[in-house]
Amino acid sequence: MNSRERILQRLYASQASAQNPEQTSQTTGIQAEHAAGWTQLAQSEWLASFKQNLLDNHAEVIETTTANWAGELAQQLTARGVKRLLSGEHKQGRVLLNALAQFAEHQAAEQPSAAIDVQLVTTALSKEELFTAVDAGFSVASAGLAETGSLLVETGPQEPRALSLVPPLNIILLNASAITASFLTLVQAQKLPAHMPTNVLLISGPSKTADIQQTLAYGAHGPKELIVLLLTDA
Amino acid sequence: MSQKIASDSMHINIEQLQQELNVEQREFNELQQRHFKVRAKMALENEALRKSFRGASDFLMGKRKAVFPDESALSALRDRGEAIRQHSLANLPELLERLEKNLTANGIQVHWAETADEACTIIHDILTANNARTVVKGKSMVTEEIELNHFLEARGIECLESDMGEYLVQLAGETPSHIIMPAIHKNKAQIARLMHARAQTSDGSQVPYTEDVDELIGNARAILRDKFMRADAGISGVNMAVANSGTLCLVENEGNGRMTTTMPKLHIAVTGIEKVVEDFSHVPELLTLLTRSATGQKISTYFNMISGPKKAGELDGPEQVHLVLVDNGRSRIFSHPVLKPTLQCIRCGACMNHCPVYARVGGHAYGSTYPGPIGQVVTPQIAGLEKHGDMLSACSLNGACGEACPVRIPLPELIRELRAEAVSPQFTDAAAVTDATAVQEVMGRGAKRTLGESLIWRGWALTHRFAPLYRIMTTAMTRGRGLFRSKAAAVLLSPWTDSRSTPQPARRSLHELAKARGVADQYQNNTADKRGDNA
Ligand code: SF4
Repeated sequence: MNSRERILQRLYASQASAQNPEQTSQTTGIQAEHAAGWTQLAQSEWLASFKQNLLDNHAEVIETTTANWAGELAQQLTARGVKRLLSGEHKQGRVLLNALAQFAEHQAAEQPSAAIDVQLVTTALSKEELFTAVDAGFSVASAGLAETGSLLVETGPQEPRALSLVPPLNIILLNASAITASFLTLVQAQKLPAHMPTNVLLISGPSKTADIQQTLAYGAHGPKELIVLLLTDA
Repeated sequence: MSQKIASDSMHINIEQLQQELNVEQREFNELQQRHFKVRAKMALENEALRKSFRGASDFLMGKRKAVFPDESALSALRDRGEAIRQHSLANLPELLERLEKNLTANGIQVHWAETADEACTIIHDILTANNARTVVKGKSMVTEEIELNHFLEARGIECLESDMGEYLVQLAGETPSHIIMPAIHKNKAQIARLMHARAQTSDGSQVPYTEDVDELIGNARAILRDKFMRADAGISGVNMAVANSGTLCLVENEGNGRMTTTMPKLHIAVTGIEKVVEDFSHVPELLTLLTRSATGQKISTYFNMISGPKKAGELDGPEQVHLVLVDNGRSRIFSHPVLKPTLQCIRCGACMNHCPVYARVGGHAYGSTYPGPIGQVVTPQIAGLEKHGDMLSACSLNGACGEACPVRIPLPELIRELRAEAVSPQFTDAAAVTDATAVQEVMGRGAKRTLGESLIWRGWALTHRFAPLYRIMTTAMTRGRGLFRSKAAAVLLSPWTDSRSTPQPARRSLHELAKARGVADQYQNNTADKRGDNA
């Protein structure tokens, strides 16, 4: 018998002899009064709560529209002196790429050096480059959670994991209509993918720590800043 | 370079500082070898330490309170947390098999370890099979429990802790003093000295002396990011493992957990077998209970759900993901009818934040990986009552831990049960366990049993069961009350009277007083049925 079999055998033996009848293998009672446990926000409060929670967690929220977001982001990036941004190979990434190209043309006359290098990544990323030469990563969230101000990011071929992790500035785009009450309602509405992608994330702010004398510091290992672009018309 | 910067303001002699830290580390190691009572006494006399723990406990209790404004909602949520965890345990073996099946289908390799040593060996084998020489670690209490770092370092593998608190503790050559905030026992100035004396930047130079928290974190960030970029493997813990989807969930704020599980090409997750939950629908409430109880946050910065290694077409992520399921005494806890709720724990640390004893003696006094109330319950069960039974005395049974626990583990009851186990006779043969054959005795049961004490308690029980004996005892105590003031009594009772006033029996017993007032003696009437009850 190997370790696996011995562990399982012990557990099954104890389970069989457990005297308490409710402690035996039943799935009842646990699903039944589900939402009863924790108060849920009303829909009218979702947007406000979502924004407030993100602000409380040191993130920046920019409310914008489908037509304007890329232009607004271009300005933000220029203002912050971002030189190099990476995005996944998706529709929104291409929109951003075009907007930044246009923006650069406009600006070229005044500030020829201000051009931002945007790259839609399609091949494996060099770690060296990622850690040392990229200022910002751009990601798209598939849902938002009002109760906690969280963004659901499903990684995959078009959404590399490292983009929301390694660069010091993390930018995440979200349609306001994708905001839901909480993680619990999201799970109950079965909005988590049936076959989970290899890595799914809830992101609720820039990385932080309070490990030194309970003093909060941002930019522990990951992003120092998080900008959320909230598309109010989408 | 560092000397120059430092000398501008602080005039710090780096060699002297390093020597001081070496002495402190040696003292720490020596103290950890000593008896629990000695450690507790030393801790109580250390003012800086007491200040650190008092400050941290107050801070964390305040944060938790603020994020649970509604008592009845909290109570309902704790009911749910308890129900979910009990459900997981009631179905534990089936859920583990289902977890294994679904993880395997997702491409995650599952390993089972009965003991700490076996777990370390499995991990070491995976690392060597992949030629991994450098490891970054996300925060994981189980790997502290199995002492993985020692094991791997003895075999030439570099193991770097990357959680800020764990990193500092490792740098100091110490162990965590809190399960959520490992460096809670150190203040800013101590950390500044530590970083300056021992941390090295990636180009090998000393870190400048600073007490500014942002700068301290920035320095550690630079050092650790370089390690994330280069490490061959990442080892992490698991907060919840979801059986139905085959998903490993990690809760964290810093991003080191994501780094550990994303950047190196090999990821090994390690968890106790109790961390499984059946379905994703059980996760949100446990998550909210965990972060709110631990640090007073509605949610952590990252909730990281891992369901497989990098797939074809994906541009990053580990090529291999392994899960090591560690028993290390948990199946024995599982068999115990009273102690089983120990396994409900979600490791939030609220019990230690609310424990008045922990707040005073601090985490290291317990001398174990898990300190505080949950440590008092877990440690003797996985490492034995012989070695760790003494920490059970560090409890006033005030009940604060049980009230704080988000999954309603009856911690004071479990501590009492373990105290009883420590002085109960060992199971001598199979006949002693007739009613529940699968119950395995607590490791080291009876370790604290002494002939003298058990005779005293037997005598005590006997006198309370038989009225004539009881009368003799009360008469002796009331008539001989003067003896309690004698020199001999002062010596005999000193462990009790050192910090309490001497007990003083009354002149007459209650029975005598009642009789004098004409209350009828009822003893004769119900003696027959009373006897049976007390047996
Ligand atoms: S025993 Fe309860 S309060 Fe203590 S760490 Fe575990 S879950 Fe938290």
